[in-house]
Amino acid sequence: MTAFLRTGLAAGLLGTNAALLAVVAAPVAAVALSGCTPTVKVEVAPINIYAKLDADVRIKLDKEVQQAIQQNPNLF
Amino acid sequence: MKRNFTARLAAGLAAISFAAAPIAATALLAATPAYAQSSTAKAAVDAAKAQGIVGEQGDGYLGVVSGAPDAALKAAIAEINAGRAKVYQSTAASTGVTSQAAGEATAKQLFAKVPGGQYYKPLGGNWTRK
Repeated sequence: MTAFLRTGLAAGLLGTNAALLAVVAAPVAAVALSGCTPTVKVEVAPINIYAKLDADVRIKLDKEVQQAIQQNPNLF
Repeated sequence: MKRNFTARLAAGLAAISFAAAPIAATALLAATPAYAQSSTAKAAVDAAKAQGIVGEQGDGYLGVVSGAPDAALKAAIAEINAGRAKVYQSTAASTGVTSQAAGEATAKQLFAKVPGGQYYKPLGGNWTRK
């Protein structure tokens, strides 16, 4: 009777240990994996749309902008 | 700083969406109409510029260089940026470019006018003291 209880207890302990091991092992594996994964930082460069405009469009735009600045002294 | 940026981004987006509605109406008017604007906002922003709190950005809008501006200054910046968004929409409509391009073209001219000691921020760059 006591022997049965003992083995049962032992099995129970083993079970909890296995479960505990799994719980502990998962984050360790995750940390180990993340340690190996290279961190890629993506820097998105702002697109300079103005620089890509055609020269004639830019000239017209520059004139319009100059006028807009002059006509809105409280904004610029 | 990052917080400031997101706040400015939100303000900018709000300004753009706010400006989007009257495009059709403004396109029918003069090419570069002057918009209702308050000189008090301009005065507040100019004072903050002189103190190095506010500067001109490469996208054609005002930005906060450093520190936390008070509510009045924030409102002044938002008001001017909203007004600028309308001007850029109008300029864009009359030249066949995007308002983003109009803003960048304006920034280019504004940078040239930045007085010594004040700040400007080129596209993709950092705040720079002139």
